[in-house]
Amino acid sequence: MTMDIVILGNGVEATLFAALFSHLQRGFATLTLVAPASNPTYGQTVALPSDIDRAHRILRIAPPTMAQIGAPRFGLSFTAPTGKPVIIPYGTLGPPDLMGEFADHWIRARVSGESRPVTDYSVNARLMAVVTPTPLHDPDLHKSVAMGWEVNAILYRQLLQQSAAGPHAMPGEPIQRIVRGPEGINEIILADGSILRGDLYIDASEGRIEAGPGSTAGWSGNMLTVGTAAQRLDGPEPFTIAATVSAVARLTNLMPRADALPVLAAEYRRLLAQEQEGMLTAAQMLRRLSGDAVSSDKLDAHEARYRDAGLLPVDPQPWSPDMWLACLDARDIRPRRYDPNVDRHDAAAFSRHAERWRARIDAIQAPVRMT
Amino acid sequence: MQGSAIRDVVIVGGGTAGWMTALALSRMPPPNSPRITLIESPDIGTVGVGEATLPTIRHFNQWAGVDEIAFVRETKATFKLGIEFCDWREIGHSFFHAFGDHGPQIAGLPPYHQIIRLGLADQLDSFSLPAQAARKGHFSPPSADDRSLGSSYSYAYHFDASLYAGHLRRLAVGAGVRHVEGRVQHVLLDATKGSIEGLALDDGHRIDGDLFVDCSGFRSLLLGDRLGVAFEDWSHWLPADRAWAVPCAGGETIAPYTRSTAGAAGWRWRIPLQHRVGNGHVYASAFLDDEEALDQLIRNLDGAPLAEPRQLRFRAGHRRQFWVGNCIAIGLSSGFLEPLESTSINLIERGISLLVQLFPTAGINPVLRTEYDRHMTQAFASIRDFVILHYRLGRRAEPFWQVMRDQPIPSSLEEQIELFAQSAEISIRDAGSFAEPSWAAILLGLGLVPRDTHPLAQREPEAAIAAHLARGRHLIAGHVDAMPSHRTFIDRLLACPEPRP
Repeated sequence: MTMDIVILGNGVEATLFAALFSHLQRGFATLTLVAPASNPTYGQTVALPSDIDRAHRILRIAPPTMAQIGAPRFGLSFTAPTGKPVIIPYGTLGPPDLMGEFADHWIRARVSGESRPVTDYSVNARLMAVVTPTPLHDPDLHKSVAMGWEVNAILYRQLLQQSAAGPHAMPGEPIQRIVRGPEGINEIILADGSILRGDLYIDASEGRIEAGPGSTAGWSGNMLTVGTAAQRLDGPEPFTIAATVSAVARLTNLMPRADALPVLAAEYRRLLAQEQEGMLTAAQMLRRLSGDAVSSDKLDAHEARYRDAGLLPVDPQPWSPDMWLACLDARDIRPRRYDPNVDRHDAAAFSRHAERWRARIDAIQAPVRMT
Repeated sequence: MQGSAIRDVVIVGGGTAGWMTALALSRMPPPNSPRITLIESPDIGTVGVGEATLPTIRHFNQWAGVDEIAFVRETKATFKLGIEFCDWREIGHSFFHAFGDHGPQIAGLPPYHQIIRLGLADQLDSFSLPAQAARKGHFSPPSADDRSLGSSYSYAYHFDASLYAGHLRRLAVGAGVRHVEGRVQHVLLDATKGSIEGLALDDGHRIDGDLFVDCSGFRSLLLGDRLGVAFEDWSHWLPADRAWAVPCAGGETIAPYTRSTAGAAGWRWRIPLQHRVGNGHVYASAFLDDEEALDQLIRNLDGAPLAEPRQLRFRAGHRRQFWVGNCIAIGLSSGFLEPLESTSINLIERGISLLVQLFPTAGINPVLRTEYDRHMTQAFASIRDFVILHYRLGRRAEPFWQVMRDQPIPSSLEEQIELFAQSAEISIRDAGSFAEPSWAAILLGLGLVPRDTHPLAQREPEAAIAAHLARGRHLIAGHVDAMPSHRTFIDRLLACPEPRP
C-alpha cells in the first residue's frame, strides 16, 4: 500500500519535514509539497537547534556544508533586565571522564558554597565568547561541544530539497482553497483550478494556513499539524524546528495502517502533548531569564524542586539536564540540599578535576573552528 | 522539624522491608549518614510471600554491599530467568515472561512486527534466550560483552525472605545499626508539628527519632494506624484478596524460573529454592471459598508439605500518601499488589532508592515529600496496570475470569491494549517500569495477535526475514546448550570461596 501525503507549506519546516520523511518512510508514501496562497515572508536566517545534527546525519548534510551557508550556534545569549549577560550553552557541562554525573557533583558544590557560574565548565560557553576559525584539537573538549546553526533560510531550503531521497511533486500553483470535511481535508483546489487529493495532509505551513473549524493540534482525522502550525513559540530557541524533526520520527513510528488511524492518532497526540508541555516550559524559562514576568506552575515546580531538593526536572525534554542546570544557575537559584549518593565520590577530588577542566577551557584562546 | 538535619532514623519492622532499609541507610556515606535504630517485635513473623524478585534486586544488593556468593549461600537462593505462565490462556498452554528481549531490531523496527507478520507470534518464546534456557533448566550469568548474544538477558533470584532478612540484619548490625527487640505500644505525636516524636515500647523504653520509617507490614502501625492516612483501594480492579502459602519438598532438579498457574479464581505460584519449594495460591474469596482454595494448592504440590499452610488476607492498593510529616512507609505498610510479577520487593527497592536520593539532609520539606509520593504513586499504578493486563486477556471460562474480562479497567491500560490490538505498537507509559519486551511477552503470550503491523515491516522480503529469524533461533539454541544445568551452576558457585571482607 502506498500513501499519498500532501505537505502544506514551502518554508523551512515543510521542506525539512519532506526531506527527512522521504528518507525514513522508505517508499511507503509519495510526497507532494504545495505552497500556501499568501506570499512567503521568510526571515533572512533561520536558527537550528543543537540536535539538528541527528537529522542532518540522515540527510547526509555535513557540518562543512552547513558552514558554507551560515555560522555555528553554541548556545543562547541575551541580557537580563539587570544588565547582566545570560549565557545558556548547548553541549555538556564538566569533564567527560567523571565518576558520577557532573550535575550531581556541581549541586553538592553549590550547596557547599561554590560561587562560580556553572557555565565556567562549559566548552560551548567559551566558544560563544571566542568563536572564529581555528581547529579545536583536544578530543575531550571536542566531545563536549554541541552545535546548532544560524543559516541563510533560502540556501538551507535548497540544501534540504537536494538532500531528499528522491524528488517530491511540487505543483507550480499555490493553494487557492482548502475543502474540509468531517475527516479533515477533502481536497485542495489550486490556483489554476486543478484539484489535489491525498490520503494524509501535513500542515507544515508555519501558521500561514488557517486552521479549520474543530481542528486539533497534532493528528486528527487525515490531518497532522507540525512545527509552528501546532505550537507557536517565539524566542531565541528554535523549538519549532526541533518539533518538526520529532514529528517526522513520531509519524514514522506510528505510520498509518489499515483501520488503525484513530488509535495511532490518539497515541500521536498523547506523545505530542508531552513534548509541547516540555517546550512551553522551556520557552517560559527563557522568558523569565530575559526578565518577563511569566506565570507558569510547571516552571515554578521545576525551580522549587531545584531549590528545595537539589533536583533537576524529571523529564528535561526538549533540553538536556545540563541545559536546565545552566538555566537554573543563571536564575541565581541556590539549592539547599543535594543527592547524598554523590557522597560516594570524594568532593575534593571532584573539585581538582573540575578545576583542571576549567583550565583547559580557559586555554581556548581566540579563534577556534570546529572541525 | 523542617530545616533541621536528620540525625536519627527509626525503622519499625524487622522483615525484608525493614532490614533492606536499615542496610541501605547504613551505607549512606558521610557527612549525611544517620544513626539508625530498627525496632523489631519478637512476635511478628516475616510474611514470606516476597520470595521471587526482579533483576533490579541485583543492583540493590550490589549497592548495599551484599556479596552474591554469600547471599546465595545464606538465603538458599536460586536463579530466576523469568516467569512461566501456565493455563492462563487455556488449560495446557504455557508461555514465558523472561528477563530479556526477543532479538534486535529488524530494519529499524522492534522484532515483533516481523514475528507477527510471519505468523510466529505463538512461538515468541523461541526468540528469547532466557526463556529457552529456563525451559531446559539451564543457567549461566549474562556475558559482559555487549556484542554477544549472551549479553541480551538478565536474571533475578528466588530466596527465602526470612533468611534474607536475617542475612541483611547481620550486615546492618555489623555496619552500626542498633537492633531493638520490642513491641511498639504508643506512637507519640507532636500535635503542633504533625510529626512523630518517639515510640513508647511495652518494656517502658522510649525511642526518639527525627525520621521514622514504617516497615510494620499490613498493620501500617505508623502511617496507616497512627497518622490515619487513607488507603486507595483497588479491589474493584484486582479482586483477589487472600492467599494460602505453604512450602514443600523439592527434587534434584531446580527450575530457574517462577511458575504461575492460573486457577478457577486466581493463580498459584511455585518458587524453587535450594532447600524447598515455596508455593502459594492467590484467589478472590468472592469466587472461591478458603477450603477449596487450600485444597487446590495442596493437591498440586510437587512434594510433601513442610509446614502448616498460612493464610494471608490483603487488599490491592496503596496509602494515599507514602510520606507524611516525618514518617515514610516502605513495603506492605505502604501498599500491596499481588505478586503476579514478583514486584513486592521491587517496590521496596524503589522506595529505599528514593528515600536515599531524597534524604532530608537539610530538613524535611514539602518538595521532598511530594516528589517521593509522586514517584511511588506512579510506580504502583504502572505495576497495577501490568497485572490487570494478565487478567484482562486471560481466556479461561470460569465466572471469575469472565468478570475480569468484562469489568472496566484503567483508561490508560485500555488505550495501550487497543493500540497494540490494532497496530502492534507498544506504548510505554512509564519508562521506569516494565519495558517493551515484557509487554510483548504478555500481550502475545495471552494470544492477542494484532490486526496489522508496521507498514515498513511489510516491505522487507519475507524469505530473507524468515531466514534471519531462523538463524536467531539456531544461535539461541546453541547458546543454551552450552550453559550448565541450574543445579550445576549453583553447586559450582557455592564451591567458590567468598571474597574477604
